[in-house]
Amino acid sequence: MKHPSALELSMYADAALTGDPEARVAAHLESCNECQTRIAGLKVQTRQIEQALASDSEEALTIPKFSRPASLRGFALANIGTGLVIWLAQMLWKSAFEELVLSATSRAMEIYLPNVYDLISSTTLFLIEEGTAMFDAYLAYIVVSVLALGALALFVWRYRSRAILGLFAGLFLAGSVLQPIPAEALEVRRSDGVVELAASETVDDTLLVAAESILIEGTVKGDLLAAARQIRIKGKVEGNLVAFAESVDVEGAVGGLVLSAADTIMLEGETGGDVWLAGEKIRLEGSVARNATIAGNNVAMNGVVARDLTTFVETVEISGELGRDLQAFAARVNLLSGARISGDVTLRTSEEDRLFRSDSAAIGGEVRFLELPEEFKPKSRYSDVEFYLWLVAQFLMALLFGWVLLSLFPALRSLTVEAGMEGLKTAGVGLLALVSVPVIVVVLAVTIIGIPFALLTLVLWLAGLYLAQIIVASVIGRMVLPEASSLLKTLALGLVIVILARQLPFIGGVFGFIVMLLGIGLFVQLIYRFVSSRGSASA
Amino acid sequence: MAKHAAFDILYGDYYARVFGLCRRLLNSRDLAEDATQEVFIRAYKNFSKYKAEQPFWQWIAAIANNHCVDLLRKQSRSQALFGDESEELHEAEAADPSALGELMAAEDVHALNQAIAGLDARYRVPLVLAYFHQASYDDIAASLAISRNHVGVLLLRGRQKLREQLATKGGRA
Repeated sequence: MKHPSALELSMYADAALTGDPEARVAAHLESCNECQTRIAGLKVQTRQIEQALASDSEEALTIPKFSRPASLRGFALANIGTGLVIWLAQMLWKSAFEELVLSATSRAMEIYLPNVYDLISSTTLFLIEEGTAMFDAYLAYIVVSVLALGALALFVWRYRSRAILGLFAGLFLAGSVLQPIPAEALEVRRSDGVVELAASETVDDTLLVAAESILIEGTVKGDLLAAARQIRIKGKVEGNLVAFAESVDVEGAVGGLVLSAADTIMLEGETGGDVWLAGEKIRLEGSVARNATIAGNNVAMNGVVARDLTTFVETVEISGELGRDLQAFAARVNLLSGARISGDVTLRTSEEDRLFRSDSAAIGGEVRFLELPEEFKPKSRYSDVEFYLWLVAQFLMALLFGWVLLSLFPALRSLTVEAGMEGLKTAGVGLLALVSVPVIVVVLAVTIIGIPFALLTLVLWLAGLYLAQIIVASVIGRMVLPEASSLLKTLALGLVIVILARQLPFIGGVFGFIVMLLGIGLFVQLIYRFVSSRGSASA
Repeated sequence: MAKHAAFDILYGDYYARVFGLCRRLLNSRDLAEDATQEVFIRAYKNFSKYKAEQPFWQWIAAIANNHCVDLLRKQSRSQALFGDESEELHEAEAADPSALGELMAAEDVHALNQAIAGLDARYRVPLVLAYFHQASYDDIAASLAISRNHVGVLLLRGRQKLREQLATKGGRA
C-alpha cells in the first residue's frame, strides 16, 4: 500500500486538499493506522503552533498617536487659509498704514493747532472712530470672502460635476483677466549687510527693507518702509517714506509723506506730503510741499516748508522759508538771517528772551508768546448720551442676532478659542511650504469671488461683522461663566465684554481687530469641521 | 469629524492586532511599529473603499500582509523570497516522516515561539498567515503570489524546521 506524501497529509490536516487527492487520502486513512497517527500528530502540531502564536501577546504595548496623513482637502484648506493670511497681511498693511496712519495724520494736519492736546485727543478720537471703521470695513470684506469662498467650495464639493468645475474655472479665468489683484503686492528685502537699489532699478510695489545699511538710488513707485542703521535715499520714492535708523539721509524726492525717527536726519530733497521727524539732530534743507512737524534736540531748517512748521525741540534754527506759521515748543528759537516766515510765529512760552530774531529775518504776521493752557478739557464722545444709547442698541441688536444664529446653528456654540487658534494655525500651515503659485491662485480666486458677490457685500458686511463679534462673544461668555449657564446669559455677558472693550481708547481698535481675527479663525475651523464631517458621511 | 472619530476608534481597537501580525511577519518590533503605522495610513487613505459588510479585521489584515510581504521582498532583494517550489518539495519529501508528530510538551510555548521567530521568512510568513491570521491556502497563495501547492510545501517545511530546531534544543537542554 502506497502512503500519501507528507505534503498531501499536511494539506489534508489543514483541510486544504480538494477534489480527487482529498478523496484518495480520505479513503487511504480509513485503512491505514500509521497515516491516521500522522494526521493526528499534524493536528496537534497545528494546535500547538496556533496556541504559541496566540499566547505570545504584546506585553506593555503602547499605542502611538496616529499621525493622520494630510488630505487633499486639508491641503486645499491650508492653501485657502494661507491665501487669506497673506491677503490679510496686505490688507492690514493697506488699512493700518496707508489708510489709518496717513489719513489720520493728514486729518490731524488740517487742524489748526490751538494746542497740542487737542491734536492728540482729536487724533485719538479719529483713530477710534474712523480707524476701527476702516478695520471693520476691510475685515468685513475678508469675512465675506471667507463665507463666500466656503459656500462656493461646499457647493462645488457637494455637486462636483464637470459643469460646475468648468463654470468655476471659467469664472476664475474671466476674473483673473478682468480684474487685477486689488492690493498692491509687497516686496520685502532683508539682509544683514547692505541692501542697494541701483539707479537703474525700479520697484513697482511697496518696498519693505530691513538691513544694516540701505542705499536707494533707483525708484520706488509705492511706499518705502525701511529700517536700518544707515539709510540713504538718492533716488526717488513716489509713495510715502517711513524710515527708522541711526542716520537717515534723504537726497532724493519723496512723493508722499516722510515719517522718520533717527539719531540724525537730513532731508535735502523735495517732499510732496507732510513731514514728521523725530531725532537728536535734524536738518531740513529741501522743500516740503505741506506741513512739517519735528521733534528733537537740535533742529536746523534752511529749506522751504510750504505750510506750517511745528517743533518740539531744545533748539531750533531757522534760516529758510515758511509758507505759513511757526509753532514752537522750544527752549531756544533762533530766526537767522534769510529766515522768511509768511504767517505768525507762536512760541509756547512766556519767556520772551527765548527768541533770537536776526534783523534781516522777515516775519509776515505777528510774534506771540503763549503759555500752555492751564485747563484742558478735551471734547469727549464719552460725555455724549447718544453714544451710550448707540452702545445699548448695538448690544441689543447683537444679542438678538446672536441668539437666533446660535440657536439655528448649535455647532457654533461648541467653538472654543483653541479651535480658533487651530483655525489660524491651519491658515498658517501652508505659509511655509507653499508660497508662490497656490497663493497667487488663491488670492486671485478670492478677488474673483469678490466680483459676483460685490452686490451682496453690503448686506453680508453687517452679517460678517456681527458673526465674528457674536461668535467670539459667546466664546468669551462661556470662558467666564460656568458651563451650564444659559445661551442668552453667556452671549449677553460676552457681548458686553466685547462691545465695551472695543470702546477703549487706543486698544479698542486693536481688540476689535483681534476679535475679527479670532472670528475668522473660528470660521475656518468651523468650515473645516463641516467639510470633514460631510466627507465622512459620504465615505 | 465623524470619519476621523470612527477611524480613531478602529485604530485604538485594532492597533494591537495589526501590530501583532506585523511583528510576527517581520520578526522585529521596530520594523513592526513602522509597518503598523504605514498600514493604518494606507487604511486611512483608502477608508472610503472599505465596505462595511466586510469585517474590518479582514480588510486591514490584508493591507498588513501585503505591506509586510513587500517589506520582506525588499529586504531579501529578490523576488524569489519563497524559494523554488520543487526544490522545497524535494527536501520536504526527504525528511523523516516521524517529523509529523507533536512538537513538544504543551507548556513550552515560549520555546516554540522562539523557534518560530528563528524561522526563515519564507517559512515564517505562511505559517503566521495560516495559523495566526487563520488565512486560507488560497488567500495566502494570492497575497504571496505563489501557487497553492507551494503554500502547502512551505507550511510543511516550516513544521519540519520547527521540529528540527526544537529537537536540537531539547537535545542540548
